[in-house]
Amino acid sequence: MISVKALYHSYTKDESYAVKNVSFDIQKGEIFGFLGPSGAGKSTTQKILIGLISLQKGQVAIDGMDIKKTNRALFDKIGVSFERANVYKKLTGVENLKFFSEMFGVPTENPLKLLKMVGLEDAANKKAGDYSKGMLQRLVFARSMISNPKIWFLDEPTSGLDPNTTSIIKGIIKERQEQGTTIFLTTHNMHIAEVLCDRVAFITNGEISAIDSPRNLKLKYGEKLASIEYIENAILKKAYLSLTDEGHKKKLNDIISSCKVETMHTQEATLEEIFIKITGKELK
Amino acid sequence: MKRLFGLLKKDFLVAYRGYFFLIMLVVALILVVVTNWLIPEKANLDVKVLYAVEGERTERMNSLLGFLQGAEGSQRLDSKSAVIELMQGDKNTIGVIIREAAEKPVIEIVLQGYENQQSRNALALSLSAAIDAQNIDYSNIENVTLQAVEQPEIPLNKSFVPLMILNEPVMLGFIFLATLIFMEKEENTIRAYLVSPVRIWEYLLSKIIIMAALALISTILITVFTVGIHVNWIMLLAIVTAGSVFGAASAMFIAVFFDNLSKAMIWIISISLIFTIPMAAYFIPSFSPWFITILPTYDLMFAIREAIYPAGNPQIFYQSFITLTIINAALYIMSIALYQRSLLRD
Ligand SMILES: Nc1ncnc2c1ncn2[C@@H]1O[C@H](COP(=O)(O)OP(=O)(O)OP(=O)(O)O)[C@@H](O)[C@H]1O
Ligand SMILES: [Mg+2]
Repeated sequence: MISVKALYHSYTKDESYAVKNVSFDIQKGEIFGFLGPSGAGKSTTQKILIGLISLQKGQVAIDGMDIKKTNRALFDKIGVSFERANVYKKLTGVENLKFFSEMFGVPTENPLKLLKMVGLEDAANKKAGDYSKGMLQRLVFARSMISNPKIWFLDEPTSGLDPNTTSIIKGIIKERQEQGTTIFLTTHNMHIAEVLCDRVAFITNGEISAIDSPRNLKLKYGEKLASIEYIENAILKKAYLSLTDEGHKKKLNDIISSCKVETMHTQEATLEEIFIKITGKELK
Repeated sequence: MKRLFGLLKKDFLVAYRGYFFLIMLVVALILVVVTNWLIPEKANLDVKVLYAVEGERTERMNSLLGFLQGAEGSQRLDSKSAVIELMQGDKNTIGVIIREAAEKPVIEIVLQGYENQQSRNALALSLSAAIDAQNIDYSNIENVTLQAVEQPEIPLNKSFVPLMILNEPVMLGFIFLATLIFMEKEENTIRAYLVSPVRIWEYLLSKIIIMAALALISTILITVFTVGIHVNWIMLLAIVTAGSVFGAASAMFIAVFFDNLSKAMIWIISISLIFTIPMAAYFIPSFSPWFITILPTYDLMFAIREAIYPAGNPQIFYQSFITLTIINAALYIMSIALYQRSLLRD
């Protein structure tokens, strides 16, 4: 559905790349997660894919069509949820969606139904200028579904939302996938990526360092960790120790034999820990 | 078509809730009130003549003195110095000193200094005519009028109406359109279009149509409530449409170069001031340096006047309409290309 080969982009048109040699393929019906810390180049990549930034170097094909040769009708197949909410502040929620639905050449969703899905039915007739940040975020998310897109680009769809709303959004994304939508999801929320994505790409400083399913990444890079709380010299201490690393294993033995262990359990490495391990970077 | 209607509906709502229509109505109302009740129908621009006779009063001066006496507001003083003294206190006067030398009346004219050549000539002519009056046989004079139709005199207050129509619908359109575009740039909604099948030309056209509609409503209101319904409506509405599209398209063209309203403000203000310079030439048609006449608003202003007060010069309408249409098309096409590029600039 989406094929990207050797994509480069420099905002300054020189050798300093915001996106550097990025390649990936997304299959139909797949949720592809694009994970990386702030400034990694996630939004830049998404903007190139949807034609908001012109392609400088590399190849991008969407639905089998080279994006350099597409016409505007391609946008009938695409839905985009933006990182920063961009709606008409003078129009109400429902007017915003209604206006947008008129821009497409394909059958569109009922605006009220979409607003209801994201919990904005009570605010449907309020001006978007009076919406809170989270409400605006949901409005943009709802708007991106208006044309029933085959390919859906979501840039940080859950940032700044409460856990309850986040899980509603997660449910909608999952449901759309089951209907066959291909989804490109940008986030730095590892938990979302873990539960939603079929495959994820780790991106830092514009470069991809790994692409695989969360499960495979865990099998490959994940290691069992022991989390242990113990008392040494009358002080409560806490440690995370790998169960495969020789040094860590020895330390664990020492703690057990010489200190008073309060709690101890093993846990699987999270995607976040794997990310740090592979890229050497925190996700914030 | 569906997209264009959608865009129009949205632009209308945004303009309406941004109080564009209200502002337009209030400004139109103010202009109507100013025209009908605040500007006098007639301005007292008549110059008063102060005159004095130096030396002997002779027979030959009689007709001239009779003429001066009969002039409205004229005043006879004793000496040249008295004339000059009074003239310094009242800028709306001129002085005429009459004396006799070598058996002929000699006339000296004292001016304030700001009178133009035309009024000097006119004054000299009327004085010499007065001197000759006794020798002219009026029965031999035939009156020739250049305009076959009698021109009704336009009251002063109503003669401002074409200027107001140039200002309110056309210039307001210029400023409103810039506001509308920057509103979308700041909300970043422009990006949301770019990922929908909307074409830039539809996006821009919708805004132009809204501005033209605003201009037409305001023109009709101002015209009906000042000069009434007896104007050349087809000509008036056509030229106002062309003019408001010109204002809107210029604003659109300028807005593409800036990210926000505050950066563009200085340009918007400067250009709208430049566009209004031709108003200086409205009451003095002979004042027409090239840097004023090349401004499209110059012809536009006289074309609007022709539509309201026909002076038998319809070619000014055609000339202005065709020029504006060509400029508008060029601005529109350039804007489409520029918007396409600038939005992908990032
Ligand atoms: N319009 C721009 N002009 C110049 N540089 C930019 C522009 N937008 C982004 N950048 C730079 O490009 C790099 C990648 O930015 P990008 O927005 O793609 O990051 P991101 O991964 O989406 O980050 P975040 O998680 O904060 O959204 C950053 O170094 C950023 O400073
Ligand atoms: Mg981003």
